[in-house]
Amino acid sequence: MYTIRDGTLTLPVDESIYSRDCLLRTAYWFTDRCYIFITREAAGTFHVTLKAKPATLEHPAPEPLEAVAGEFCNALLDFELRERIETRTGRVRELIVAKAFSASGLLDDAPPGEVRDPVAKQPLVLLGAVAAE
Amino acid sequence: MTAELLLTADVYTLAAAKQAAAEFRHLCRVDVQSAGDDTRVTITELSASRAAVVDEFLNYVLALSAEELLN
Repeated sequence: MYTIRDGTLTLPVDESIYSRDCLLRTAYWFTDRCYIFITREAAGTFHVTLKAKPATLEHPAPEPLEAVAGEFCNALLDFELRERIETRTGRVRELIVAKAFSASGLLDDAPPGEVRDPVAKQPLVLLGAVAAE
Repeated sequence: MTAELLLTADVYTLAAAKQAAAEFRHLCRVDVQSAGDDTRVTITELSASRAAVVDEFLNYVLALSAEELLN
């Protein structure tokens, strides 16, 4: 599944299962926990190399790379699943939100208050307008 | 220490590599060149005590590339 060599752990990521964007999202989230380098020697597979960051006062004990790799794989799966659900249900969600705003009439009315109103007070004004309806 | 790396265009962008090279100029000297679609970087550390500078540079390019490609 993965290989460990010279203090680095390399794991293959199959592009037919995980998209490039999901891999990027996952890697982005893990850059604060370890060093990451991604290569693509052949079409269809990315290779992700993880390297532990040195100990700091904040994190005196470096995390075991195997544990980080396990969490990386779980996060990759999580992002991939989210993306697939978004692809399947995104339009329905947009329709529900549009319908909700449409039914409330919120989009038909002019925004309450004035442009010069302080930003902090605007949510209260908005809530008052909704409650009055 | 000098490190030469090929950054795949599927993940890393040339713009991100150039930006990171500019921002890391006080830590290392980075030569950024196009290699077909990919990007070749040659990193020369300015101080031997900064062993992690290559790793930090790669993490930074990855983060910049992700922001560019996912937005």
